[in-house]
Amino acid sequence: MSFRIIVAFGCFTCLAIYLVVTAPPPLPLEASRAGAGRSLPVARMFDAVNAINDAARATYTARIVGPGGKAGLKFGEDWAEPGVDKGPLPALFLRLTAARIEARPPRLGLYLGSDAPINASNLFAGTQATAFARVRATKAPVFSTSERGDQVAMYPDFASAAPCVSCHNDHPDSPRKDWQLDAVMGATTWTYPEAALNADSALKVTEAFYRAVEEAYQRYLDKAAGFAVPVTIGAAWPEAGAPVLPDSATFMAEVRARAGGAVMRALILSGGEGGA
Amino acid sequence: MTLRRSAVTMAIPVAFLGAMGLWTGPAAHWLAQGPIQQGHAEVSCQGCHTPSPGTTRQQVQARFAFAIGRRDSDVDFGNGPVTSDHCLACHARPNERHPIYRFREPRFEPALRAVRADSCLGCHSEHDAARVSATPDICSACHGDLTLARDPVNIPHDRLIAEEKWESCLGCHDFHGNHVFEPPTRVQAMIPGAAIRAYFHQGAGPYGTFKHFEAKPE
Ligand code: HEC
Ligand code: HEC
Ligand code: HEC
Ligand code: HEC
Ligand code: HEC
Ligand code: HEC
Repeated sequence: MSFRIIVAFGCFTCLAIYLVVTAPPPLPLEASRAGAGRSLPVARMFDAVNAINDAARATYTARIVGPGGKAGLKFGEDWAEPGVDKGPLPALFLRLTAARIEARPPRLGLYLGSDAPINASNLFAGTQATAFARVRATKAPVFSTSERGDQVAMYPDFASAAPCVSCHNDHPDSPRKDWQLDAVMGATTWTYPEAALNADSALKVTEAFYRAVEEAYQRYLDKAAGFAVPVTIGAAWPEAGAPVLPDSATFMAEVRARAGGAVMRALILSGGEGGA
Repeated sequence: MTLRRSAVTMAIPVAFLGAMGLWTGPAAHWLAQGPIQQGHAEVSCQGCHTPSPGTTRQQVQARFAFAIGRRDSDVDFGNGPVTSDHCLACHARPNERHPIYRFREPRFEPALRAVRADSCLGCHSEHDAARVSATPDICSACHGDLTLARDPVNIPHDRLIAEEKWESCLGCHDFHGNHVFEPPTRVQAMIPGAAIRAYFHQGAGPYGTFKHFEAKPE
């Protein structure tokens, strides 16, 4: 009798030790791995990355595509094909950035669309079409949650520089030829899997997005270095008679200068609630 | 009698642990699934199955703590799930025509109900001796209103689509755009459906032998 109790007791003690006594340290929780800190509604993070994207698009269009075009640099849909000496269009520059940011762990999605697109595959449909009608009417961002549970934000994409208007109005596939400066030409849609994130993660996502912009620009520089007539890359911006390109440090300094204030307002100075 | 009872008592925890092991990860590897596709003959199991963090005992403890409510999140046992990131580590290509991330945009939600185009595993399930596990008519999920402004094909795309010739698409286009292959402009020159199906099941590739980007080996 007592022997049996001792054996049973021994077995259960062993089992208990195996299961709960933590000689090896316990595996950390996902949440504590992510780090703690002040919690921020995801809308604030969307505001920050959208400000960076706007700054990158405006810099790229107004200071590279516009003046570069006058200096003889070319930009086109077929820019990535081997043997084609062109740079990416602003929309494709955004897509390059989107592909870079998506390759990183915080699953941030970025997409560009319109209700009157040059490329039919950029046409909004379903819930995005409804949300875009509101974006166009209010010229303000619209926040929602998708069917699969992602947080979704849609921001107006303004014709912020003259080349936006002229290139779209002149494009043979454009269904609209009457775009004007500052018009809402379309919208950027952002997705993120969580409704809130701590300040630390928000900063990480913001920095990752800056890096994605830099990598996208670097892909253009890499291509330009291999043109039949290689482009000079340095500290100067292109202008009539000077088909040169700024190096990525110069380009990124301009993007950061343009976006910095808005990023700071979104991440640091803002209060609790979402919206812009 | 006494001895038998104590043997039974001793067996309980052992059986308990054994069952816990069998019913989860590592043991399943002894009972591996179907054969991996030929293209991956040279790829080791670890190429796609990453061991979860921690030792087996740490994982058992974490699961036990989770089961009795003393831990907020469960952990993976043995190996973590296979994700598209594993595939992309070897197969990422800058010229991808259908990059999976694009289909995470909300407007593709209805299409994803027909084909999970936002994950490699939506069309390549691996372990079933097939190169592609989807059906050749998946193009219908997204290209239903395609018309080409200057259509070079002798039966134009909008007619092919109106007649629901969805299996014709792969006869003239590969899916990823990774083969060096010009689409023909005459439907008579199309790759026959039987050759496409054979290709899906490990047969020879019908789009020629050259690829823009080769997969990275390990
Ligand atoms: C040099 C020509 C050019 C310039 C400059 C240009 N775009 Fe575009 N844009 C295009 C083309 C071509 C597409 C279609 C790209 C594709 O294949 O997805 C496009 C796509 C878009 C789209 C997605 C919907 C659609 O039309 O397919 C939006 C929105 C857009 N551009 C807005 C802008 C804004 C805003 C600017 C200025 C910041 C700008 N574009 C500058 C040529 C241009
Ligand atoms: C090319 C990628 C790839 C390779 C290589 C591979 N697997 Fe898998 N394996 C998968 C996918 C995909 C699944 C589907 C389950 C999932 O989503 O986790 C799977 C599932 C399994 C499962 C089912 C249990 C589970 O974890 O879901 C076992 C067992 C397994 N694989 C064993 C092996 C073994 C053994 C090898 C080496 C011979 C191997 N696999 C090589 C991709 C791969
Ligand atoms: C460790 C690197 C590696 C990983 C991980 C990997 N692959 Fe591969 N894959 C290869 C190599 C190498 C080949 C053979 C070369 C080739 O055919 O391009 C190949 C071949 C293939 C082929 C057949 C190509 C052909 O033309 O016959 C398919 C389809 C494929 N992989 C899909 C996947 C998917 C889906 C995953 C993720 C579940 C995956 N691979 C994960 C390296 C990898
Ligand atoms: C919507 C379905 C679908 C999805 C999602 C998909 N594939 Fe494929 N894949 C196909 C089809 C169909 C083919 C055969 C036609 C071809 O060769 O392009 C194929 C062929 C391939 C091949 C062999 C030909 C080549 O391009 O080298 C590889 C490798 C491959 N897929 C890898 C992947 C990887 C990696 C992913 C995820 C990033 C993925 N696929 C996602 C449908 C899909
Ligand atoms: C989940 C949605 C989806 C599915 C499924 C799908 N496509 Fe597409 N396809 C797209 C989108 C979006 C584009 C992008 C068009 C663009 O960027 O101009 C595209 C582009 C293309 C292009 C043109 C690429 C280029 O560079 O101009 C071809 C060819 C194509 N798809 C063929 C197919 C074929 C063949 C199938 C079936 C095997 C298929 N697609 C299945 C969504 C899809
Ligand atoms: C007889 C061969 C043939 C068949 C069948 C065919 N296509 Fe095409 N497709 C072509 C050719 C040729 C082009 C023009 C290619 C180019 O301009 O580079 C093209 C272009 C495309 C484009 C690109 C349009 C653009 O704006 O660049 C898409 C998308 C496409 N096809 C999808 C499909 C789908 C979906 C199907 C099935 C319903 C299909 N194709 C069936 C030959 C074919």
